[in-house]
Formats: sequence, C-alpha cells, structure tokens
Amino acid sequence: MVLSKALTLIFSADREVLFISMTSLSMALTSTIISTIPALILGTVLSIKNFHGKSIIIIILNSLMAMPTVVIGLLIYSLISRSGPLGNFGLLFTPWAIIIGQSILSFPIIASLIYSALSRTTIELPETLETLGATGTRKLYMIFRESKIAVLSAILSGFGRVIGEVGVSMMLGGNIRWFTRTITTTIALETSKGEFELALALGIILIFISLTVNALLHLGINRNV
Amino acid sequence: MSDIIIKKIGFSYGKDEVLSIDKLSIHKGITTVFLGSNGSGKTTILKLLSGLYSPSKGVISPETENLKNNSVLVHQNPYLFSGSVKYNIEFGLKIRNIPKDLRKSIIQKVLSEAQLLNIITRKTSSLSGGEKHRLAIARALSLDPDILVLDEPFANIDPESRNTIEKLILKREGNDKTTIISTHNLESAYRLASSIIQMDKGEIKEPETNFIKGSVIEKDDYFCFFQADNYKRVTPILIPATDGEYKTAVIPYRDIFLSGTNIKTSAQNQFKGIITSLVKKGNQFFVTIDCGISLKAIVTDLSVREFKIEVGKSIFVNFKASAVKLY
Repeated sequence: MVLSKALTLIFSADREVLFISMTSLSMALTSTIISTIPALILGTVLSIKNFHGKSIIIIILNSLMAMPTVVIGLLIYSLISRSGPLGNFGLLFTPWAIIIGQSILSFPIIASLIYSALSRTTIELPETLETLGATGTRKLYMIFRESKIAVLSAILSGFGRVIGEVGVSMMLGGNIRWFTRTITTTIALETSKGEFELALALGIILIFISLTVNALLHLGINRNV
Repeated sequence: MSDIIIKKIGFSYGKDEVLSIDKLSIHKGITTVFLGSNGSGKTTILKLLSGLYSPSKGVISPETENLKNNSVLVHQNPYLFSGSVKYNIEFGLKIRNIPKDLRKSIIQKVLSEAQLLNIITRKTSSLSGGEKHRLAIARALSLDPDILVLDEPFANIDPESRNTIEKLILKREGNDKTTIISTHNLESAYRLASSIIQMDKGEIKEPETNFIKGSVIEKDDYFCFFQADNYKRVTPILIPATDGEYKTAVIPYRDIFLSGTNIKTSAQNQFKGIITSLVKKGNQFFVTIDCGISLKAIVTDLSVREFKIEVGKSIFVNFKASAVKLY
C-alpha cells in the first residue's frame, strides 16, 4: 500500500517530489563542482611535489574524510548565523548555506582520492612522458588522461557523499518547504511524522540517482580500457 | 652526440648509495650491454645514461639535460598510453611537431619493422606481452634517438618477439646511433653487444669472460674456424663444428690455462703471447695476454710463483675447442 502510493508519487511527477529531487540534485552537483576545482589542484600538488608539511596535510585530509556531517554543519552554522562573523551575508537557511557546507564536506574526499589515484600511477608513466619529450602542462594533462577513471571515481565519491548527507542540509538549510528541503531532510521529517509514502518515494529516487551515477562510471571505465 | 663519459659517480635513494662507478665510457655508435643480477644497479645506470636521473655525486658528460634530450628509454615494464597502437607511436612525433604526412610514413615504417602494422588500430590493453614490448621499442625508434636505452627488452617475451627486437636493434648499427641495453639474456647480449659491462652490487665488475667479435671463416667435419675482427694473427680459434651465423665467441677466463712451453694436450687452441698485465684480486690473479687478440685468464698465487708469471714474459695460452661458445 505504502509502496504503491510512493510509486504513484514518482510516476505522476508529483510537483513536490520533483522540486525536492531537483533541489537535492542541483545543490549536490553545484557543491561537487565547487569543491572539485581546489581538490584537483591540492590532490595534484600533493602527488607530484615533495614539501615540508605534506604528510600533515594528508593526515588532515584523511581525518576530514570521516568528519561527521553534523560537526561540519555546526562549524558553518557558527560562522554564518546572525551572531557569527559571516552573519551579515544572510546565508543561513538558504540553498547557498547548504552548498557551502556540502562543498566543505566533499572537498577532503575528492582531494584525498585524487592524491591517491595520481600517486598510484606507476613511476613508468611520468618517466615515459619525460623520455618521449612531454613536459609541463602536456605531461600533467597526460597523467590526468591516464588516471581519468580514478579521478572521475574520486569526484563521484564526493558527489555520493553530499547527495546522501542529512546533517549539513538540516542544520544549514533548515528544511524549509519549497526552498531548502532536500531528499534526505524530507525522508527524516516524513519518517518522524510516520508518513512513509513521500519518504519512500524520495528514497527510491535517491537509490536511482546513486545507481545511475555508478552505471555511468562503469560505462566510462569500459569504454576507456 | 659524443661518447658518454662517467667519472666517479654515485647515486643514492635516500641515504643508501646504490651505485658507485669510478670510470666508464659508453662509445658512440655501438651497442653496449649491461649484464648483472637483480639489484646490481643496471636500471639505475640506464636511467642516469638516459638523463632521467642525475648522479648524487660525480660527473656524466654530456650533462643530464643533454642526455635527456637525445635519448629515449624503454622500461622493463613499458608504460603504454590507453588508446590505440597508432596513438602511442604518434604521441612523441606530435610533441616534436612532425608534419602529419611525415608522421604517417614514420608510423607505417616503424610498425611494419616491429611487425605491428596489422594491429595499428588495436587498443593497447588487448596486446600480449611481446606486442607491448615491440610497441614500446617501436615508439622509441619512431623518434630516431641518438641514444636508445632498453631496460630488459627480452624479459618475459616469446622467441618471435625477441628475434624482432634483436633485428630492430641491429638495424641501428652503422648509423652513428648508440644503443644501451640491460639484460639477463646472455645469448641476446653476446649477439648484439659490441661492448659488455658486468654490474654487481652497484659497481662495475670484471666480466670473467673473453668476448671476441668476429666471424666463422671456414668449417670442416670437426671444427669451425673463428676469425676475430682486427686479429693480428692468422691462426683462427677452433670451435666444435656447428651450423648458423655467428658474430661472437665467448671464452670464460677460467677455461684458459697457461703453459711456459708448447705442450701437447687435448686442447685444440694454443697461442703464444706476451703477458701485458697482471692484476691481483683477492687470492687470484687476472692475467692479460696479447696473442694477436687480447685474452684474459685467472690463475692462483701459487701458479704465478711457480711459473714466474710477470708482465713482458712469453707464455702459451691453451683452451679446449669446447670451451668456446658461439653467439
């Protein structure tokens, strides 16, 4: 009964289900894109350069990967709440607050996994590039080209982390209907109210998004091997 | 590109020095082979000679950057870029801004020589071990480097691929191109090398094998008559009769014995010569005798005293025909 109602909500393209899904998807995509750029730079620098403090940065990145979302939410909350140093921007309980929080959440995951991916390329790759005459940006481009599946996996892991998180969205977005309500915050709310139809519908959509992302990655790997 | 000269170089990974060479010359235009067991420093010296590494101490001439610009190294486990066979060959040519038409003809030529033309569009992930090695060498040869450096090119490949690779290397001879190889494969080493360098624990070691380039000039029912190149004497070396085309004769130092007089033994090879050097290493002596060609033998301290072996003395060099191996 609950399942059939949930499926009806999905296949009838219920306005609220669509809005919540699109809000979740757009915020997760935006935050992933925002965090990918600095993460890509940091991951690359860590993998190709040796410098003092490199190990400390790697340890911090790895630790941040396991940081609870509510702790990140709390930290950002203290910064953007009205009494916080960034309170004047009026970001709290807006989609941008969620995007900032999710960007911070996905950054260490993407940076750390990109670092691991590029470090795992065998010594033969950079040496082959050098001996064939590739230097500078061409060399860097080829290292990324040869590691693209691993780099893509890192980015999708970051996306996976933010699309399924609830702590940041709840604390920074406030779960405001038709504004900051996401798939995960709706599921939490509806379940606590004992109304499972909408929660189940959104749960199915979340699983579908996750499967689609993984299927795309798998297809990409098969095409490129 | 001139000869490569190494003077008092060392190379360290962290605190551990893995290579220490006092003096070494790699001559231009010939094939030099480094022999040695795993961990003997062959790969390290190859990376120094191709300019990928700089020595921790000492001097290599030409300088590292110059070496890097004029050489291409092919790894023991060559890295092939994802994509097609053609993409891999074209990569280095594009970097050098070779025009498209010329690129096309170079690709056709090297792939044909490496017997890979029939799989030009195939993805590298589907190649066999031998095909991967041949492609990596073809990719290096497409750039026609002054110095080609091959790290274990015959490791884990089929005999057909080994023959093809040997032919590709031999084609460079006589074009003023230097080829440097490391290998465990003694047969290939002796066939290809004009110079052999034995490595052990990061140092150059006496190879303990006489290595003579030449050719079989005559054959009868019992023997091949092997004439060394630049041989000052007429007498060829006698070797048990065998078929095939050979360019190298190898005689271990330990299979040569010395006699003060022209004694009759079952050894078919006996040459009179003059001792040109006597070097003590541990409890044995390395004796060099000029008997038209330069041959080395190992003798004990006792033999040196009993036979009064000394530089300038006439002596007979004896070895059995079966002690000589042809390659």
